[in-house]
Amino acid sequence: MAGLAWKWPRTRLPVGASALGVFVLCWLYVFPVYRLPDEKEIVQGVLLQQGKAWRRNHTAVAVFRKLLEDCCDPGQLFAMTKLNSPMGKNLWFDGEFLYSFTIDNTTYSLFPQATPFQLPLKKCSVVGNGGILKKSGCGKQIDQADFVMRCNLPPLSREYSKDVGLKTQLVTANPSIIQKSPNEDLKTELRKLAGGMVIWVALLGCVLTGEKIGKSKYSLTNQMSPSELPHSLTYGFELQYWNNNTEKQPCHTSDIIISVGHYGLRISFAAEVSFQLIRNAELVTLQMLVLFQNLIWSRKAFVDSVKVYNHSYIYMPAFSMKTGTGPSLRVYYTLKDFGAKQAVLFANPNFLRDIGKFWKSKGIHAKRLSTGLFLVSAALGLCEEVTIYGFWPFSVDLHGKFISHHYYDNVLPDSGFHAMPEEFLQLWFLHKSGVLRMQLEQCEDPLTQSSA
Amino acid sequence: MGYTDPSSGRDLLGNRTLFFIFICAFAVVTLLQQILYGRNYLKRGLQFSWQNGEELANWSGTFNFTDDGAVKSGSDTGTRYFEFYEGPLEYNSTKCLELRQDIIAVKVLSMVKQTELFDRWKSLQMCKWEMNVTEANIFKSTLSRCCNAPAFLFTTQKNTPLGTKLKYEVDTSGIFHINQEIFKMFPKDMPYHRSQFRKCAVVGNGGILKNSGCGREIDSADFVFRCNLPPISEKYFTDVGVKTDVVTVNPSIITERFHKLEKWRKPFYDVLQVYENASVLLPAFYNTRNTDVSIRVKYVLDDFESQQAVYYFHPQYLINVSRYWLGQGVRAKRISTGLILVTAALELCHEVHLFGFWAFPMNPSGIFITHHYYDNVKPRPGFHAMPSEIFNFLHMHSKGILRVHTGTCGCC
Repeated sequence: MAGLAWKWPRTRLPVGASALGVFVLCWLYVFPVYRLPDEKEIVQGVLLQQGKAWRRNHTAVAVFRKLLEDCCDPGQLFAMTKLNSPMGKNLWFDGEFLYSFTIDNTTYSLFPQATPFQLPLKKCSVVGNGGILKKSGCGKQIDQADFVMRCNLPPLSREYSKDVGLKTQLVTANPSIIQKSPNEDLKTELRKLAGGMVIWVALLGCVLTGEKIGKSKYSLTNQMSPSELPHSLTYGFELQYWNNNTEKQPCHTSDIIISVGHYGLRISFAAEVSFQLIRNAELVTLQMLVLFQNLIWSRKAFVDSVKVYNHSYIYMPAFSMKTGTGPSLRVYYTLKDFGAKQAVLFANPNFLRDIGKFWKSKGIHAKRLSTGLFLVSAALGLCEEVTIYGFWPFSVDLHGKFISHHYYDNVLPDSGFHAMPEEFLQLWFLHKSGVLRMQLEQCEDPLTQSSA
Repeated sequence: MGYTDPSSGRDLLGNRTLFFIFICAFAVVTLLQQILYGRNYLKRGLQFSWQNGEELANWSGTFNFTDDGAVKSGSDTGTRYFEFYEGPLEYNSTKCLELRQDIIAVKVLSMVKQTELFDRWKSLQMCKWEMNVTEANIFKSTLSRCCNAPAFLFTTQKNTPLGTKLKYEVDTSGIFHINQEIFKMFPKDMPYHRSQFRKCAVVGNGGILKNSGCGREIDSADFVFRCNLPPISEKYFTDVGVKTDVVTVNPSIITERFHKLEKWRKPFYDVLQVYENASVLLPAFYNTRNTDVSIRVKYVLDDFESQQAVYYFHPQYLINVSRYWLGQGVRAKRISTGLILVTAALELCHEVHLFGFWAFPMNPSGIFITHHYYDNVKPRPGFHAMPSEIFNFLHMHSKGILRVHTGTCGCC
């Protein structure tokens, strides 16, 4: 058997073919067909553009809006409504293969009659959560828009209001935020961190009323044994502000610092509450703290956490993943039960799929678009003037300083899911062609801006 | 022919053996029956059957109701007392003693025709009821030995410390680990103590309550138990009253009517609001399916900042109570919530009044009634042994341990 191989006539063809193959590979290596510019190049390109004045190109805006209308029709299809999804309609989940669902009576009754906005909207701000927003002072400018859209239930506490504003008309929420359940990692992490040390709790005008610590009033410094701290964490602190009139008020972000020896632990309160460890003035986020546990147990924490968004719509991709439907509907039930000011809008899977296809044809290759790009596309279809803030997926800002990933924490996303730099380049292109305005610099001083 | 199967001669599980096993089983069952029912059966039962010999023909059919049968029985034996009826008789009059003895004499439900039992019960109605303190105390002390409601009715932080591995009542293999979060839901200690209340009313949901006008009498009690989230709206108010101190909720209701509380919660909360400050009592640790739903009830009330307390039956208490009643002849897959509440009430209250406990298709006068006072949905057959529970109550009534109301209520 083995002898047969030797009897095969030797020709020059394989040698020539492999040589050709190697040559082609080398060629492609040296002159690639398409290569994504790396972070430094993008930043350089952005810097070149920085000095120039930006003007809205109304024809370009109209052209782009026309493109979007043709492919996706945001005005009609943005959310699930009684008009665009009649009862009995079969819809395919856009984030999954092979799964569909039929709109039944109960689901149908949750939809609004039509898209509940006054279209077209005038001035819109779309706020991403990039770390570039930190110390930007853009809050005023963002709030000046008629319609403010935000991504993924970002924290809007006092601490950030100067940079990100307060106003919200639409905020997206990913079902995964609601699905978080307590895990033991945080406990072990904290145990490790606390070591055998005594934890000193420094309370800046705040009182911790947990089960173990809640009994007595605490002054500025208190002692807690390390075994007690992680324990109460799992069940959540009840933070209350203790002012001079001995009147209890809820604690605000950064009001409390738990210092662990040389370390400090900072708790920030918002939808995504993160537990941060200050080590030599460097923030390292440990874990999410407030857990909604799919809203099957207590629901008050969730209702309280979305109170910051006042009268706004919570936009949920309920029909993108099979696992997301239950939690999203539960958010609706929860908010309705409590008579909350926020209302839930369900994203239309057809719209999301169409937008995905649209950007794919423009050359974004990712498993899934980021929420931010979905929102920007929707805003371009719904609004006349769009300004976007906080869309900056890089680790350095324009001046070469390192910045955190989000303005509120530094949790890096799973790599390979979203193609952030590609998305950024597309948005940057739109900025350059005058379709939308991308705010990357620090906003001007509000006084000079108003006079100008 | 050279080879024979060694087991062929023995006929392993063949016809003969099966037949033998069958006969043995039959014999064992008969023997057990003799042991369990036998004594009473021989002593009183036969005597009875001889006495009303003409009824021997349809003696076995306890649930064999026909219209004419009911009417007939109403007219023959029962009425003879009504001929000289002049107001309620004294408790200790000889007539009443006799009537009570008539009921106590019926040791097993199937011993007499049901209509016969109804007649005796109806006759007894003309007697005043009084509590027989000695009998009641004996009974209560038995209960305190077996079940001890003042300490074990609910799961409390005292009787179920943190880290307890709680055994379910039916899913005996299932164990629930009491963690901090669940532990915090329990009350510190039992909120009630022994004989705390003077007069208690336990309100069942029997159709007999309809048009009874017992509302005011129920409301006049110091403590009112209700079963299974009954409606107490204006429509029923005159018959069932509004006062509620403890209301039980069966998790199956939550599962069916409220989607396990995974969707809307406000409707359920609104239903509970009707009972104002009543505590909600749930069999959370009856089986594994009940736990999540029951715990969610606590969350719902907390979320809506309600003042209502949520308590859970202690599974051991449930086991003890059903074991006790099994000994008294209540054979069922599960004893009813009503029976558990009555048992608890007997320990918590001085005097216990039962309303709406009547699980027969007709009232004592033979008129057909609905199953519940608010609907006519029949329960799953073979799950509860209602007639036998009621029968026990009638016995206890005759002994003066508690009072069963089956007629209309005058004013109090």
